[in-house]
Amino acid sequence: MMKLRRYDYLSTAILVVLGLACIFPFFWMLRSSFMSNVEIYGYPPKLLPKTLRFDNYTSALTIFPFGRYLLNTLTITIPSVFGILLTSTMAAYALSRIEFPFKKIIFALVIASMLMPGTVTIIPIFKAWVAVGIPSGFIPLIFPAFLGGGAFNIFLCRQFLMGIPKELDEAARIDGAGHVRILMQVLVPLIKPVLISIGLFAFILYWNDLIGPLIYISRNDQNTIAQGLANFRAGYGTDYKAIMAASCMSVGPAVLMYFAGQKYFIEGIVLSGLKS
Amino acid sequence: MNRARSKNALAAYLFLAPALLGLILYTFLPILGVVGMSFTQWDALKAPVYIGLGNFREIFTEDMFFPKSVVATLYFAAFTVVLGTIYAFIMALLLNRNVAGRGALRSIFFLPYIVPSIGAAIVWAWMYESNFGVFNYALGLVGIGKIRWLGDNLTATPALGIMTIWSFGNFIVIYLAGLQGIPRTYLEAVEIDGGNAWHKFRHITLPLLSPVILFNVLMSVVANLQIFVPAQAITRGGPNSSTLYMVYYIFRTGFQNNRFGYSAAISLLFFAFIAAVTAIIFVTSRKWMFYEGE
Amino acid sequence: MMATVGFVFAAPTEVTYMCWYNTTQSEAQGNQALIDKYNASQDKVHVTMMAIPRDGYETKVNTMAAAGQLPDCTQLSEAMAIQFAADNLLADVSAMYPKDAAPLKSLTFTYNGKPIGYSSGDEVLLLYYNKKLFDAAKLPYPPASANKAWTWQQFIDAAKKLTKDKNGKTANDAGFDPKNIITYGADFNRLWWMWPIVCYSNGGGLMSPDGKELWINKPESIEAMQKLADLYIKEKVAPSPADWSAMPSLDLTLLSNKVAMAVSGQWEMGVSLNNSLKDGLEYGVGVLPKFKKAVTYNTGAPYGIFKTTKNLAASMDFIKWWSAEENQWGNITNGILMPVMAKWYANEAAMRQWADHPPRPPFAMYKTAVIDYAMNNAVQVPWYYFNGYTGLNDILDSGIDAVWNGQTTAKAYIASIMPQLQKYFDEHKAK
Repeated sequence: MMKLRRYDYLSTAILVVLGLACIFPFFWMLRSSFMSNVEIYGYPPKLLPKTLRFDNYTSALTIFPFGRYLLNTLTITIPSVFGILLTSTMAAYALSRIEFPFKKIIFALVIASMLMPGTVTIIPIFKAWVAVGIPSGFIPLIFPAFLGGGAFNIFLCRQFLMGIPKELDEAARIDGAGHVRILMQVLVPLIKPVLISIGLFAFILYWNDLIGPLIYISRNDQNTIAQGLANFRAGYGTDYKAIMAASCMSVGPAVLMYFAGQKYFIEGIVLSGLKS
Repeated sequence: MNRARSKNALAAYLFLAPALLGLILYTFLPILGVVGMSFTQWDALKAPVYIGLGNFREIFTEDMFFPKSVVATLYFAAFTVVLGTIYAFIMALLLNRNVAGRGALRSIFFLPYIVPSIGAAIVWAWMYESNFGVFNYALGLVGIGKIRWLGDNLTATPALGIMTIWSFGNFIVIYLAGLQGIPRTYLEAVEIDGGNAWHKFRHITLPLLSPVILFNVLMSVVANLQIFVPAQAITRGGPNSSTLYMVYYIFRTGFQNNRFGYSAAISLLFFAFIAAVTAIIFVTSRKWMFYEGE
Repeated sequence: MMATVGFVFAAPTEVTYMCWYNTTQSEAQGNQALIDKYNASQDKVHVTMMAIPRDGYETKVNTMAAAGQLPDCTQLSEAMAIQFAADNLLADVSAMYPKDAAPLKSLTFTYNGKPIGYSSGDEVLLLYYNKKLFDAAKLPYPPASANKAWTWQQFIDAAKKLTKDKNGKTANDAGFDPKNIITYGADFNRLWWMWPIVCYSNGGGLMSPDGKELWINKPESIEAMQKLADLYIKEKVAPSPADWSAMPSLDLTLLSNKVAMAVSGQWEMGVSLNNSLKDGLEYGVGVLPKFKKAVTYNTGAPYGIFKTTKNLAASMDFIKWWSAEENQWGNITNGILMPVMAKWYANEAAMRQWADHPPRPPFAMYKTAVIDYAMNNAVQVPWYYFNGYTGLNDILDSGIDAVWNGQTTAKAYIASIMPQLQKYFDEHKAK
């Protein structure tokens, strides 16, 4: 018993030290965002700013229109999350609840596409959008979300649906429900946890995406947060007080979202990784 | 009976329509596109010109960046996945113990996962800065000299790798959940037989978690081979092409140098490579995989 | 009556103008203010500005070109100007200047012998220095006229006396700790298009001024390149390339005593140095050190109108207004640009009109160190006459860090890339 308790203290100590190290970059970003450039470049580096320079944020906002970027990012992210939830659920329903010809082949193709690295096809997809006449803007970024939302999400959804007894479908069918009603009114409420998790992760994925906007968004007033931040760094590479302020503004929403939906994040991660 | 079946089939296909369209438009057609484009010279605004194997010949005989990119990408993926998996697993083992504030600690380790990579890249680049960065300052305090983290081609990839591993909060959570799923009875059985912690690990924990580890290592390898943001946002492939990771190289060749045909050729080779790596991991995994019930 | 009605109902033509900004917001804001002035001065053309960071500008333009979404007109990056002309993307703007009032010949971009654009301003490379550090070390300031230019050795000697480690020792003292330098005596800019100037100074160069021959592999070029690298490797007076790239803007670098001498373009006076004057920055301007001849580079971004524009006349109208010096006067007097017309250099009165203003240093220093220097000792950066400078530089730049870091010699490096370089050069040089 005594030995066990010693291990616990040791583990806790190690975890606390590593945890502080893990948190440190956040702290550094926050602290730098309140300093002047002279302080930031000062050596040896100081732990805390002399005064809290809130005007770093106000002046950063004149060059880094966070509000506009936020709007743009939401304009892309929210429809995309909706599209993913909708179409992956639809596909998962078909693959788990209905018998139809070629079902096994289609499912195999879906699984196979899960392993396809997305970045190898950015070039032909870009050229296709150019050919279609929509080479830039939000549409190329939102459209793919409505096409099944990614094999992985379909797979996850399907796993969950398979765990729900088919008797519920039967009961609803006897009551005269068609497929849509069965899915929407019976099944979806039962798989809400998985859907929330899928939604959260899709949100984070779209929120943080950089390569998509780099390719498809050329107008400055349509930039997303990630893109705006990257541009900001490219342009004002050494004005660190402004860059740190902009970074804090960009990272803030993600952190807040996490604390709001912690439970679903953790559950979702577990689902995605354990695959059970 | 048949009418019901075909009605069902119709419904199924309708439900699957978006996903099937997605498969066609975003997986299969683009792969054909990459193949097709890789045989052309398609620069900027001009029309594509068929040049057979010309791109591939250039990649393997003349391109001075391609071999460097391959090495850099492999180095990064190997470093990140190996060390990152070990890190995540050890953290999970520690978190699995009776520690105070486990929930809070788990949150702390998970948080970096959701941070936008550009934001992380910016602050880490600043911490890595040779003259003003806090890392070198800390090293100086313990008497170690300055390391030119992002400025030296030997340390650049490890530096970016460490930053990437920092964001592996998701793997920590996954492995922790996996550990928590191991029935106590198994572990107790080892104790009864006189085994210690190492025995538990080697005979129960590791085998039971091997499917989880395999799956996540595979996902991690595929993801980290495709690393992009640090190369684009911080190092621009330098110093000396030591961080010229493949996706960034593809992006640069296509969108900066406007050589779309050539970029497609590189993409095709890259795709083949990832497929090969995935296959290898799957095949070799049979040797050390263990499914419950065997 | 009908004409008036027609006029009232005609909306102004929309024109998009793309330009870049360097490190401070004042640049983009200054440009926007000027554009607002243009928009307010007439109602036929309305210009919307797209400001893009300088770093990544070429990528942005290329992506837009590939997507068929080029703006109407743009500030062209010098490296891409000829390429765009060669790809037939630029509208002909030669009619914009009357024949007898064209800009200086040194500011003309030519393709196949014909002019295809003119720099929007003249820029030359200069040696900037922190006066207070020189005073503290009791050293004479760097020379401000080309005929008194320091030799490379004199440059190194001064730099060594100004380089300090954290214990206060200079590079000449015993026990000097090169791993802990807090003030670098000199940094000669190793930016990709700037550093070859040392080769020209030694009698070599990147390529011949007619663009027909590669010169980078001449012994003189290689020798100069190696001496440049040695500033960091051997003499320990310059920061490593990685350390340099993380340095803040020039004004902060000089103000915080990180560097005593630095090389950069004339634009720094208006783009960065002016920002730190109020914090006590005292800077001076001098000519570059020389090997055999005192030379500097001149450059300046041209304006371009893309052929894909649907508003050629409106764009021309804007660009003509925009490039007229009377309208850009603010950017000229605030130190960002030097004029492009010969008349502004004709006599002292004309020069004083635009040059005798802060943030520029006192006119006497500025005249010899900058104006005379630009008129008499400048050579064009090869992108004025070589089509495909960025592609050539991709090869040149591919492993150059190894030279700057001392992992390989300039001689070995140039020899290793020469076949590729020569092949690319031959494919792209003027016929």
